[in-house]
Amino acid sequence: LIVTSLGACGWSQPARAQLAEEAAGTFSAAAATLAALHEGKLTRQYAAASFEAFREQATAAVEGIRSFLIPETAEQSLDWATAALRAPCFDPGCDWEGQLESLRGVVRELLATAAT
Amino acid sequence: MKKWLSIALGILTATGGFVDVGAMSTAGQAGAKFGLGLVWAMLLGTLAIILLVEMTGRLAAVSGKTYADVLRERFGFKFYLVPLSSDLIANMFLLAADFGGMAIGLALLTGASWHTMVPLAALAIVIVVWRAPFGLIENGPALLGLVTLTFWVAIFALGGPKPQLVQTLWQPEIEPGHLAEYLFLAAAILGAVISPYLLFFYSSGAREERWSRRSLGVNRATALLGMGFGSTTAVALIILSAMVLAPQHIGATSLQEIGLGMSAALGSVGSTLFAIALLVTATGAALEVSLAVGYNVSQGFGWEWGEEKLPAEAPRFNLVLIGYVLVALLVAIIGPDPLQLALLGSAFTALILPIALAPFLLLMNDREYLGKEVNGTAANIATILIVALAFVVAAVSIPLLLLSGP
Repeated sequence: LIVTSLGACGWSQPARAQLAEEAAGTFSAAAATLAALHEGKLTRQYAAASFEAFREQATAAVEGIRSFLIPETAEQSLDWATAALRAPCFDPGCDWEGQLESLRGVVRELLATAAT
Repeated sequence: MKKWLSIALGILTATGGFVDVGAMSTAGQAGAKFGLGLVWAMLLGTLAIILLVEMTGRLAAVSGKTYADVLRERFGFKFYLVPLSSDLIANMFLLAADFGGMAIGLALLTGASWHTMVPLAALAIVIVVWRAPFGLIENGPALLGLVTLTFWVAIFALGGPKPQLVQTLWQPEIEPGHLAEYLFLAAAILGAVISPYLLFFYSSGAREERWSRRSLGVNRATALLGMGFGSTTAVALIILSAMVLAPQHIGATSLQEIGLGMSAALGSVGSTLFAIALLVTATGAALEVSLAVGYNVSQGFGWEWGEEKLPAEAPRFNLVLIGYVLVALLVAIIGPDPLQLALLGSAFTALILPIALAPFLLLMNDREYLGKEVNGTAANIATILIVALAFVVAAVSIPLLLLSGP
């Protein structure tokens, strides 16, 4: 009863906004980790272990978000960003800057989704 | 000279041993989501734990009995089963989270999968509690835990918090729809800091080291200065997360994310220091929780106990320890992410706080145990306020957990 009442009074966010914010946080952390690695501010071991956690978190959150109606652009951004999580570019020769852009793009989309 | 060394060691170990996975998780999330708006909860929890630790130490030093012994003697075995069983459940989450924290610390240092490191972490704990003397268990990880002081170095390296962020200390910025999460984190911080296992461990430790009335000075200094300094490292983590993670909308929903603050300030050295800090503090907490469980059960049932005794001299104490570690390992393997486990453990600890703390009101005024060292008026008022706070936190923790859905 307490939970339902407080939820109705606006103490908590709707599930869609909660999921979108949670996923945005994970993708943003992935972007920060990738950037830090290529700027020499993070060891490769740290980045590899972090991306394992990001993949696990994002899988659950993205599944949840896709169950709600979200804009087509957000769907596409989610695809690109999820691909970047699956195979992150840790080597300089790989297009890590493209991945960084994808990750930052999906963060913007998800934060916009959470706000609407 | 020996007395001063003992006091210094007590302060250092309490400082280094203050932060565990629960404190790291709640502090990291608090800073990332609400700036400095939850520092008050950390300070309030610290004040409460300083008072409670001083009381349990005094009780053990003067009466020659542990908190668990006195609980059972004064209220009977049936009553003792209530705090014992609730503590066993809460500690299960915390121990599993600590195994996860150790595993993640190792993974961040080696690049291996943290899942594969969890059994290694549990094995390390079994070996240490089986063979190591109490002094090493108490002092080793805690002294290494002083590495958490580098969180302050990172804050200074970043130039300190901006005035706008400092303002959130007294004017928390809570966005619409985030009030439940804010209050849940406040309750979880209190649950993480005021851990009953710490009280049971501390009073048993006092008996292991044969404290007497002459140890009251060491007890006061350890409680006040050690816990006080220790809490500053948790506050530093809140500040660091608020400075680095919050502006990037990183929610600190995993322990790996919390280390990004150290990397932003000190580069790869910072991230390595964070991984070491996580490994060491989780190891220290895992050892303390395992031993606290062994102490609680053995003292409750009147079995032989003591880390200084050989396993053959206290077989049931050691058997409980190993069995509990194995069950916690199972929870760590099949349960959620360590940070979520730590939050769950902190919320459940908050729920059971009144059961563990309410007896203090009677025990600390019992002259049969404490003689003239019973609580004064001020200490009694403080204890009543802490118990009242524990009831409030217990009442709201689970509804808020369900509402905020961490």
